[in-house]
Amino acid sequence: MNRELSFEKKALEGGSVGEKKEKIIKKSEGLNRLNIDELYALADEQISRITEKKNSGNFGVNSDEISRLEQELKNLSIEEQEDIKNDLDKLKELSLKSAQILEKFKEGIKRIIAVSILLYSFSAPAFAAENQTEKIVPQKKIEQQLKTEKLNIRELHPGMIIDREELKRCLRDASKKELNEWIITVVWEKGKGERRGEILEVIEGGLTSSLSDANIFLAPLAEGKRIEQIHTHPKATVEREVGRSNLTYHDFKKFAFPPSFSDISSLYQSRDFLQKNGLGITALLNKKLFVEEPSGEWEYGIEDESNLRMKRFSDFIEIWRNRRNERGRKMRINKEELKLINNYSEEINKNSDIKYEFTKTIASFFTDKAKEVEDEQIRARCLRIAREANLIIRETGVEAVKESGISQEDLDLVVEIEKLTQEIYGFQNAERASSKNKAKKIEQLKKYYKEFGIFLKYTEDK
Amino acid sequence: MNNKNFNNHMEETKKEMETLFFQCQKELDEIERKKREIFDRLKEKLAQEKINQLSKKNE
Repeated sequence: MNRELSFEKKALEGGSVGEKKEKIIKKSEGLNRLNIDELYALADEQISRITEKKNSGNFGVNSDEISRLEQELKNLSIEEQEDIKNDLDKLKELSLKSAQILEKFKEGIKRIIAVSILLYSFSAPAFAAENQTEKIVPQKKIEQQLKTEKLNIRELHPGMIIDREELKRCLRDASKKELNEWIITVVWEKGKGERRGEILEVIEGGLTSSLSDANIFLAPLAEGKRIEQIHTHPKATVEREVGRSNLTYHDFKKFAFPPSFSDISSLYQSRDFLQKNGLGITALLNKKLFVEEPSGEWEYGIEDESNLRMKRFSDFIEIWRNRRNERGRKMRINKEELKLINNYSEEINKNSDIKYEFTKTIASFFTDKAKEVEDEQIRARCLRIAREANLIIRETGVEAVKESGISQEDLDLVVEIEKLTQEIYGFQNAERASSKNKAKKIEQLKKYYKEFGIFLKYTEDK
Repeated sequence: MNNKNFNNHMEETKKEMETLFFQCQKELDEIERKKREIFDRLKEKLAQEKINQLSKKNE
């Protein structure tokens, strides 16, 4: 098929920083976290069924029966017969093989879940947005908030000059009151303790790596300026997950909301992006990352650039990105879908990430577009394109894990981190949480992140 | 990743688990079928041998 995407022929410059300043990105889509328990429950059920089949099966023979038969044959002194001996050996060999299949299955299931958690971590945030879009703060409440004297998160906009203390207070407040995660990117003015800065980007909901316009960092970082990207981990997400509507001061002594593995993966992806654009570690170290939670602040970043795990994950990111972009450009689409893509080419082109993240941009663009359009046929085409792009993203992710040398040990660590963060958040085993084991778990999390070459600092409110 | 994509991610994971499960089940069934064949053959031989030994005793 002669397929030509018209926007690919144009210069893919995206919008200028000036244009970006006018844009406040808002993504308040329903999100849910990966239900590890559900996957493990399914795995347990499948392992039981396979074990049962191995031990008795529909027409299988269990090891007790074989032992009894062997003994009877011995008692009759006929084991010396060659054909019987061969049959017995074959039987034992087959039993061993079925035990190996069971072990291989257990390993395979474990790996599928671990890879799934890894790919999810590279695609979705743990906090981001409320489960139901109708829970978005009503306009009336926003208007009331805007009347108060203190700066409100909803007043922030790109291009705004802001005081450091005021911004931190504003974000802390947002982590307590807002339903969604907010991400603010600021470039600090040099000198005088970098107390004043200009807001580059404001995002409500969503994931830094997939929604932030990474291009806006490039110029300030190349000039040696310091950038901070601060995102909130809202109390509301935890309240939803622990099934309580009003967490108290006492609860915050038991729970904390450190950066998730998704945040770490965003950092890795940001590192990859800066390197691709000719900026090295100095630029990356000039980009500080923070999480504001209701009762404290987390800082995280690269501690050891030469960390081997970081190297393997960087390889994974690069292989995955190249592969998904390459496959995305050859995506299976029919004539109507091609026409649709070309009709939207100008709009798609406005995403300056398209050059770097072709397939992800297409997937995200057509998912959003499907919500906007009224024509059922067009909506179906949009969803089909988004589905195809997402399938490519997933398939190439699985391939990239294999090719990048990510070990089972690496994957196990990702699973451990995912489980541990969910416990620290109170998403899991909330009833067993205490201030004492919170401190222990945070220390353990720091150790885990260190394994990835990442530092983690926590400043808890007194 | 929006909710729909999240659900797809869960579904794809479950699908992969199911595929591995059925593949493994098939392999296991095949092995167990072979085991049953050999086992039955041995049982038959054992029975035959018992008959032979009884016959010898009676002789």
